Amino acid sequence: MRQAQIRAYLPESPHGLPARLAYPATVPAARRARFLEELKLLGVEAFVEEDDAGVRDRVKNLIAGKAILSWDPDQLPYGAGEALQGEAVSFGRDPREQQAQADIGLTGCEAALAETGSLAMVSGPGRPRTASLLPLTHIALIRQADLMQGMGEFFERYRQSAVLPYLVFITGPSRTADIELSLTLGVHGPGKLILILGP
Amino acid sequence: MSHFLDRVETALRDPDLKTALGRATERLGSRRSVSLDSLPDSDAVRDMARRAKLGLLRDLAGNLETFEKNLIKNGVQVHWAEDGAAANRIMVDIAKSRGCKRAVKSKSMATEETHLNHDLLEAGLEVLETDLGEYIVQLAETTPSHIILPIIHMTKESIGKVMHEKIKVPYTSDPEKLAKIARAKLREAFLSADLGITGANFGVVDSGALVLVSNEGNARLVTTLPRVHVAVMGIEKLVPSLSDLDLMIKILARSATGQKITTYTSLVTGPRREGEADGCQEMHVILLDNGRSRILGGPLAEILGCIRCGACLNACPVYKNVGGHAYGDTYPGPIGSIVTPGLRGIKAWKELPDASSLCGACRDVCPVRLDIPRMLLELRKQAVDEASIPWALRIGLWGFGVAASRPWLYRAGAGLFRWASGLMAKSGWIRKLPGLAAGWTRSRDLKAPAPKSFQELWRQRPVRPAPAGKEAAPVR
Repeated sequence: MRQAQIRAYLPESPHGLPARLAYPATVPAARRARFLEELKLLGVEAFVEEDDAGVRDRVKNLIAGKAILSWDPDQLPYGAGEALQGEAVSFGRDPREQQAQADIGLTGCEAALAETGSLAMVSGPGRPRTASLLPLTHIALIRQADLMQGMGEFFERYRQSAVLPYLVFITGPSRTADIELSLTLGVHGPGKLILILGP
Repeated sequence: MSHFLDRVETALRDPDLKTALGRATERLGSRRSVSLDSLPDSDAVRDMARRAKLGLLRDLAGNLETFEKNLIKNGVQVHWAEDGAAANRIMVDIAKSRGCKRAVKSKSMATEETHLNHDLLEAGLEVLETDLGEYIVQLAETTPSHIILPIIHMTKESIGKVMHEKIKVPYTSDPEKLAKIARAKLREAFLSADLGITGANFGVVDSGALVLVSNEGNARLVTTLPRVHVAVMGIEKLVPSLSDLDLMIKILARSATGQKITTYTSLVTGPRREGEADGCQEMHVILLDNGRSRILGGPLAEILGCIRCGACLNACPVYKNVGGHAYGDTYPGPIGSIVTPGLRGIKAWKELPDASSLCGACRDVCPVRLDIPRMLLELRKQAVDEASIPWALRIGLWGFGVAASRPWLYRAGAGLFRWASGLMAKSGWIRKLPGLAAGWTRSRDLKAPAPKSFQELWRQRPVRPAPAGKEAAPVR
């Protein structure tokens, strides 16, 4: 009775709509071009490196002499954990106050999304969420193979899985326009986002 | 409680408000159009989003039960709150029994609706809003005036003044500096808070995930640092699956701010798991009804499909002029004119559905294509049926009905009016009408009627010679 009453007031949608959104296949080169274009619009600094050594050198140059909050070295791709040697580094197991002192957060990522320029980050052991959140600068390493078209394709991965991990999609630096719509970066999260796209 | 018309009067006398609002809504509106154009086949995406939302609402009870099951599977504790007072009570109980003293909140309209902060402060907890706009709203001891831009009504100078007076920082009106001050102040609070409070933008039924979007990152901090996280979610906020969430995310930020996607989109799926270094240790979701199920069984059911993007506010000519506070409750603009009477009853809010020109701009921009004008008309009908309409208006409408259905009486009345208004008019305009009609000329002049009525002109028109073989049509 009540069910029928509820349905009476909720109009049917137009017919002929597709059952689900279609996600047409894309080629890696096109994804990469779109991704870099979106990053430009977002004001994200991007480096494209040809090999593992290139990624490691880039990381070394960027973090030299700074206080770093990092994922565990074994969680970073391209052996980038090596670049941490000799630097002041804290990890997720260290006290919060110490983590909050870091200038730079260093992380990998689960996937990157070309159509919005987003990173998909998944929580897990050795991958503190604070690394992409507390410091004013966040550096993330992306593997070519993890560059996907969009969120829909990314969700396909979890369609059948029993448990969804804690996920966050990061798109550009932290921002606000609360005050007279004027754009300010780095309100609570990082004001600067640097991405290194490896092989 | 102040009267609606008084609030409008106050708003219209505030020059700052008009400047700030006009600028902001205009820019947001144009950004929205550009951004939706960047989405291939955006109309179909909006139709599909609507289908997903309304389909879910058809079996809201069943979907809520499935959602609850999946939340519990993820290790979340679920509470049901019939009204705002109950939701606040549950929140206070959780805080007290867990020994929480300091709460940080990320922006939530549902907790504005239940006046949660007031009850938490009463219970002796510290509560701090962390969204920049909401933080300033809290300092200024006012309420948000827009669903997504709480301080859209304030200039940077007035914001600088509030911060200078309330937290004793040197005065500045530079938005960049103001944001930096807030970052530093709030960072201390984040690191010491033991309770994190959020709303929810969506709840994904099939995975038991709570979705939070924020541009600043405060929602991430609130769900990552404190040991207890409690989310308050209106029961209508569900979407069936992750693929529907993809649809919603594609249209939410585009409609709200013109971004392709909000800076941070978090899917919160329970407390921290084995081996994780951060995230809350205990998570609760309070499912809030507060009048929603009453709306569901009636002609306003569609409004529960709203995803709170604020596009209708930015498009509405009335909102642009009077701002959010004139609407007198949590949700302003066209959406508020339906949600407020829907949740709180029409009796005390009967002017809200009248605060619309029914131009339909809200329906055009709505990402889930809600038929807002239809619902406003429905509420006007309810207001006539249930709320008290002034006797003068009733008699006037009855009188017009009598006259309009009798041509001779109508003609006589119109003639009388023309004669009387001719006496009052000065150079074609009437500045002041007497008696009951005075309300019309209080804020505008009335054009004096033309010397001859349309019917007279029609009777006096030259009759064209009839085409050959036909008689001239007689004029009646």
